[in-house]
Amino acid sequence: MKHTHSERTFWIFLALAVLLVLVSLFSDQIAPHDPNAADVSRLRQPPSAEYPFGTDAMGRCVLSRVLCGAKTSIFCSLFLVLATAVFGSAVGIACGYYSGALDRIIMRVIDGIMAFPQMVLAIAVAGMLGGGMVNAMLALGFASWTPYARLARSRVIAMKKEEFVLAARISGCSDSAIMRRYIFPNVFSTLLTYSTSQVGTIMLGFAGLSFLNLGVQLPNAEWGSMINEARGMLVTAPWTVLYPALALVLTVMVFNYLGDALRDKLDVYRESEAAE
Amino acid sequence: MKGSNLLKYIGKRLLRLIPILLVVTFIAFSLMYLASGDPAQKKLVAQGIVPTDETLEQVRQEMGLYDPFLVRYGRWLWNFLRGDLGESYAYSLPVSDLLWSAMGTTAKVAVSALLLSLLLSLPLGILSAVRQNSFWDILVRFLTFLANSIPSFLVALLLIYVFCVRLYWFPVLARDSLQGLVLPTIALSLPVCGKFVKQIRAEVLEQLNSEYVIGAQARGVHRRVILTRDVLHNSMSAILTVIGFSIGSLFTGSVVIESIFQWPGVGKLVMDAITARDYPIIQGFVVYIALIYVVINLLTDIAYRFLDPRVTES
Amino acid sequence: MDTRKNMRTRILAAVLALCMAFALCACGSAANTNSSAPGAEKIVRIGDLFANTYTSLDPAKDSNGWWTACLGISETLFRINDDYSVTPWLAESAEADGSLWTITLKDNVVFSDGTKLTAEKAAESLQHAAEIVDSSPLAGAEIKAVDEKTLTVAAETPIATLPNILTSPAYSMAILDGDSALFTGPFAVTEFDPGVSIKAVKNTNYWDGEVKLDGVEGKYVADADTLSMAFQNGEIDAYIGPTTNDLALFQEAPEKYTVVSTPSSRLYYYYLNMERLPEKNLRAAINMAINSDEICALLSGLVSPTIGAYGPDTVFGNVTKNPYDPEKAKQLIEGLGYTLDADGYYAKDGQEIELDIAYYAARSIDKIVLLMQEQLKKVGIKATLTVSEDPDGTYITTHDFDIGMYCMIANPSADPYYFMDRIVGGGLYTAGGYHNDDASAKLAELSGETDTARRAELAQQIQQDVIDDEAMGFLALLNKTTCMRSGVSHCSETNPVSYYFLNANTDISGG
Repeated sequence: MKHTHSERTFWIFLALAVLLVLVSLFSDQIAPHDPNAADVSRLRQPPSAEYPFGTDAMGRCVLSRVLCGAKTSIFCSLFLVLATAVFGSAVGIACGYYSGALDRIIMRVIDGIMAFPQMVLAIAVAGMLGGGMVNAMLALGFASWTPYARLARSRVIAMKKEEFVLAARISGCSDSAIMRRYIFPNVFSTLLTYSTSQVGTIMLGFAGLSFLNLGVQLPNAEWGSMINEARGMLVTAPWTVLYPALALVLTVMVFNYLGDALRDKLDVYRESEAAE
Repeated sequence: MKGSNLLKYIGKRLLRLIPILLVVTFIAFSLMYLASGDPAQKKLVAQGIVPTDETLEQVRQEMGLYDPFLVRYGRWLWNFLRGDLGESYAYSLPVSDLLWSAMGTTAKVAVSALLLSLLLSLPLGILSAVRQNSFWDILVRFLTFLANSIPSFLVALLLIYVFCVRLYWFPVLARDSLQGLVLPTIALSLPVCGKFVKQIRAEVLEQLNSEYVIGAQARGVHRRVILTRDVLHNSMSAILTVIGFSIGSLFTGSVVIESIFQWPGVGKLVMDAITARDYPIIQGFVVYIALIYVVINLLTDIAYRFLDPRVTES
Repeated sequence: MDTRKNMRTRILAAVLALCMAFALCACGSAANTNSSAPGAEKIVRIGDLFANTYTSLDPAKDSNGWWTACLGISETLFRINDDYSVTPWLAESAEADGSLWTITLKDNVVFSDGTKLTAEKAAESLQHAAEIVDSSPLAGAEIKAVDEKTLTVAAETPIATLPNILTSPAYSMAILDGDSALFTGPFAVTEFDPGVSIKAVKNTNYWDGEVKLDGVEGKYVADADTLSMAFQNGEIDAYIGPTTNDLALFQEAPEKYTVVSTPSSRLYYYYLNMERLPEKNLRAAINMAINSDEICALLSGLVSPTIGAYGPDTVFGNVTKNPYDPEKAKQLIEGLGYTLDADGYYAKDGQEIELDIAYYAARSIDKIVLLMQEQLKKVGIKATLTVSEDPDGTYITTHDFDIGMYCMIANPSADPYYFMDRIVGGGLYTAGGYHNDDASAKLAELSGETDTARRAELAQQIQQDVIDDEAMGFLALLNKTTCMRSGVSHCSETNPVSYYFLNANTDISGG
């Protein structure tokens, strides 16, 4: 009973997440107007048939900007999670597998990076680099690859003693082959669960940096920066704040739910596997 | 026996801090060189001086920019160990003074946010776990989810809009006053609450499903007694760890929240420093935060060992 | 059993404590609004976005004098009237004889402690400012008191417009003593927290009539949205410079707010980089592509249209320029051999025209550049935006821009020389690298000319040179928009000068 329930939740949220990714992928086609086209003859217009989310202080279509912001927010977050996961787990697997002095040094460096709260480090790095989406990604990436490395490393160390790995080694498999063929598939589910749960966090991170003017630069749309630009208009033109805010919160929720559902599903899977 | 074990553990942890601190200070020092361009020019611009070739040369000499990188790092580290983080470009005051005086103000919000979070999430987390899958559990879990998915800046903006602009309950220009403390505290504690409730619920659930609880129930011990005597007591150490980790969220939140509420703490100081390109402050800020973060986590780990003898062996 | 009870009591106590704290806060906030019950003090609080730069009470340093002038604390020997005419204020009269100026002081002016403003004190203040103010025209001048109420200023190079210069708050009359200072205005400083706030009380010794308010307060507020919310919330009684959005909001509620706009001389303009854009026709095309009417519409109510650096109905404003004409702009670009590429931008040899617009995000300049980017796109010019925190230290110094945005007061001291010198004089602020011999000659003439009509004529000719050479673009003039809570009256809202704000007649009644 419980299994099918968590199974269902997972598929629902996976479908929603895929939908969001598709929307952001085709945002240029879906967007009814040019998201950057300013028009002084239609400043701060309430939602209407032509502008379903209204227009902002520059007369730009809020719906188009929300859609365009989806592309920035969702894509940058997914890309960054993927990049940090790949980089972090590669470092972690290598460290765990080879051990040795380099492993110890790298682990100390990771300890050092993790001594900073993630967003504090990201804000500082972005503040030093200056605004811009690339800089924001570098900043968040620098601060967020380390958990993957630690996670992967500890799983690999636990697994190295397992019989099938020892057997593969005795049978003359190369190190990289062992890592690819035996170790990676086994740490994969752990890493996948963790990285899925990170998408929402990273998205909030981007929004936070953009809100602080450390993310996207004019005239590009991003949810955090849209909220920042429009924050003074909660009284006069609430739609300029509420729609991007809604988009942000809902998207983060979908990815957070997906992360949780995935964890439940894999846990269940592991448990049932263990029970057999 | 237990005491000496604990001391040994503390000693070991302190030793492990040394390489961490080396890395932390090295990262903080290197941050300065992430910013493109000539540090001397940035210093002059931040001070509102239009740079000329002569002044640039002079400032470069003063800042020792011609020395090798490691020499500069060594000098910086030595100064840092003596509590000297350099001088702010914009204020011409020692960075450590600026940070320390702002730190107290931040601590006020951070501590009250932490208290509020505990106050809200303990009962909610326990309720949610004890009444698993009830209406209340589902509601609490949804709210937790919402709290984890809403950026704190949005919460802050909405709070200001409702309570300051619409209801006139609180001042907008809250400069370090009791009245001004309320909204930043709420905004800061919300995401922390989200994390707490989730952790507390999970921990209490685990305890409830553990063998000793099932055994006690089988023996006919009253549920409420089990809950308060055993479950809560055993969950305490886990909750402590969560508090340790929440320090990070609190500091992160403070950067965003303080600049929105104009709360004159470190968060606002560092945001102002970022806009004014006052790099020594940003540098000092990250070192201090990392130090505090490391020390608090060390303390919680020690307290964890102290409270929960089960982990001592591992 | 015991732990359980303990825990419960503790939680209960904590909850109660928190509730009490909240209740206290809620009660306390009722005192937010400025009540005007009998016996209550009449205090007007103003907010300012730039007050963090006011670091001391020395009016000559940085622009500290602006803050004290705004709050009716400091005063100058001469002042600028609503129509930009300059009349004596603390002074009685001024006369020029060649390079020697003789200034006579009013009889009855006293500092807030009752000390008389003597010629000696006035000379000290001027001397101090002459030494400190950046490139002060008074630098090196011999300033001395002749008798109790007469002083002379003898400059090496003749100063044509000394009374105008002395209207600047930097030349406020002050007795400085360490961190404290005495001024002659209707309010006397009681508390000063540098960069944060300033408080002043009624000056009972005020020389020019009864002061209506009991005190004034100035607060630094970091951003325009917070300032507006603090104003709506009643924490601020008046401020200058709302956003367009707030302006609309306030105008819709005349029973709650009074908003008065008057054209000021703060000018939005841009430099075109003469070195990077050597083709005059390309610069002309850029200028024709920028539609300043749209900018005025975008910032509706906040700015007034202009052709030159000064408003069309001021004495310096009679200049002409090409009207907005996107078609002509396209023709000009095509005439230079550019053709439209697949993206809709003009390109030559596969190289698109790509202009870098450097700007800083203050006073709605960020919105203006967004619009300019769109306008340039319409005529096939691609523009990118680069933001800097401080234009002076970055692109103005390094000339690293194609279009460099700037905003400044073109008419300080009600005189054009300062700004004309900036745009054609070849100094730091001639940031586009512009040079024109004719304009330079006229600037030299302007510096020594005492005849006001001729000065106006020269200023107009210099502007015309700049316009004809397509060296800059004058976009719009910022209005001085004073927002007051209902009940607040007689701020200097009709005066175009932004540092005249609170004064002896400013009053507040039940609001």
